[in-house]
Amino acid sequence: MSKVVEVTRLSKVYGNVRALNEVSFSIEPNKIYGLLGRNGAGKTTIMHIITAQLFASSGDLKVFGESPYENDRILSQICFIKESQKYPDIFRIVDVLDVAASLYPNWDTAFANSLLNDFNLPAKRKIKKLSRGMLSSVGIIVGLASHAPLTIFDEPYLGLDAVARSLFYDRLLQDYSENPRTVILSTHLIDEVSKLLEHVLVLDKGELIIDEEAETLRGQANTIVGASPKVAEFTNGKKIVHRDEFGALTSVTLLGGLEATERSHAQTLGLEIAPVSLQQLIVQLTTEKFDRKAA
Amino acid sequence: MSLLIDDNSPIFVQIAERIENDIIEGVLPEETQVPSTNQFAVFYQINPATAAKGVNLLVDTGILYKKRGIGMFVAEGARAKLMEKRREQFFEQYIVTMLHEAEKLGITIEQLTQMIQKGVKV
Amino acid sequence: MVNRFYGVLKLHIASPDSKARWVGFPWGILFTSFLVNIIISVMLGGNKAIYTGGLSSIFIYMLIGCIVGVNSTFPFALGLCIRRKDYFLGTALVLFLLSLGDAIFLCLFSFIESDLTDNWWSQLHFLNLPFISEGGWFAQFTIYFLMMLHFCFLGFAIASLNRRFGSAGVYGFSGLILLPGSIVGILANYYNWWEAIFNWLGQQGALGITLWLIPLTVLYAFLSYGLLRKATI
Repeated sequence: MSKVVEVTRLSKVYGNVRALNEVSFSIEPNKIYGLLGRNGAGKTTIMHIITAQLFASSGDLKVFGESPYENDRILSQICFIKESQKYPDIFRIVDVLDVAASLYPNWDTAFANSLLNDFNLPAKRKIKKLSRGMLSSVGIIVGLASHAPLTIFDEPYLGLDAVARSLFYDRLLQDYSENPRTVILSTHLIDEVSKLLEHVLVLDKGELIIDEEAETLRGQANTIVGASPKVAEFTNGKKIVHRDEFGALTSVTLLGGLEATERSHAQTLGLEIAPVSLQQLIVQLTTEKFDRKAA
Repeated sequence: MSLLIDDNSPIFVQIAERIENDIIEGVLPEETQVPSTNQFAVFYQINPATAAKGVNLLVDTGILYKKRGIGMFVAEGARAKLMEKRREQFFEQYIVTMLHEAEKLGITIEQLTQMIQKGVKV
Repeated sequence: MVNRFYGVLKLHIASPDSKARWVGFPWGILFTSFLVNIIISVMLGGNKAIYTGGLSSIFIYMLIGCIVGVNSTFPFALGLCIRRKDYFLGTALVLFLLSLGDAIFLCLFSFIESDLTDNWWSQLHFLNLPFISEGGWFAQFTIYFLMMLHFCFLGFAIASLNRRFGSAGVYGFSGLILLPGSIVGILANYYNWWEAIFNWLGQQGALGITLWLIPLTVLYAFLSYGLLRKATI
């Protein structure tokens, strides 16, 4: 199975700021990937590089096996929807869709029209008169109806309310089931999309810190809460990623699964075990105050 | 039972459990068709691959089987198998836990039996 | 191989307002200038021939239209993963066709001015300026066409400069041009080169001068392509 995207030791340097530092990963076909991380972690930078809209300082990039720069064969298979996309100010929604239709070989007009309906968009309205939410909806429609083999969404739901976001996930999943394609979703709303993801990539300060199957990641952290001395005893020698103390209690997040024996041990010590959501895990791994040393 | 998928166990396990519950409660009788993995995915807003993993788990344990070109069906004897499994789980989850708790609280076996009788009457 | 050239064409003319930018505004300003000129020439009685520079307005507006048009469509095109080469070629074609169309209509109105209405019945020479209409219809058409093409690609180049280096680049580059330009101007004054320059220009004739615009326009085109190739979002 050949990779859709292959990034090898990619770096992007601005003066003495390393926006990306020797990042390497690959994207396999027809899976939904999550590209997660805090603001400024490098997510948008790397997506722009993958789509040849920005140039890497060093490293290697292959999309569908070739370099994407000025490569129509490759570029026509990519659709990149970003929150910062600037539309020509004199364009109306229909104009954007018209242009997109003539650019994407697999464009589905019927799908685009039904989405216009779903998102309640006034087709003839000018782009500059749209609210932030409507603008995002336009981007989502282009991304979905393009049926591009590699579709990338960068924070596509700025301004969208929960109902519209849910609609997006629905349509995305439905379309993905019927017409599989490779999807990369980059977002802050980790919890909402975490169930949609098959594979997770996490960037922090320009480095790739997680590259895992979502399912594996979900089982990989637990929070232990209880009396401080008991917690210390239990977590001795284990990898701690986060610690909170309040009064006589300590809450500790551990990396690594817990065996059944460990679980009953915790129970006998009177400790509570709670699962850690993907969002909590990523937040804790990327927060400044995370203590990398074991207890 | 909540329709939401939570963080307490892997998603595919929760999907499998949901199907098992439906079989036990008779919502999915034997030899009937189970919704497709895509339908599960859209309904619970989860990744289709994850839904497929949950379904395949049940195929591996003989609860579901695949009819080529049509879909997944509940296997014969599935309900009986699941009831058996649930009985074992009942023992671990409730009985063993109850005994531990009883020991902690200093309740004897005789007192325990009395309590059970009391509960039956209520 | 998928050809997304057509998409670029659509990009420039899709919206109804695009027609305003490319055709409406330039011709609108030309027409306005014409009206003002005609009113004045009628008021003056129409005894003496009047030559005005109002024709330049359409060229200036096309220049502006190109700068704004390219500046706003390039980021969008890049966002849609269009190749910079395709964007350049598609845009160049649009500019070429526009220049062609404009030149044809200018010739048409020029014909109306000189042959049909006897200089608008008031001796107003708006379109038929002396050096432009000396050489016959073909020469006149070529002059209009080359001038329009020149200004379009100049606008294209300026916008490309902006996309590549930002406004700092545009200011910087202008400074780079103005400085030697002013030095040459000072030297020309000092050494009295103007007479020789004007003699030479006079010998070239309007068509001759305009033909010099061709290498200039080609230069702008090369610059635009080169700049866009390295431009980022």
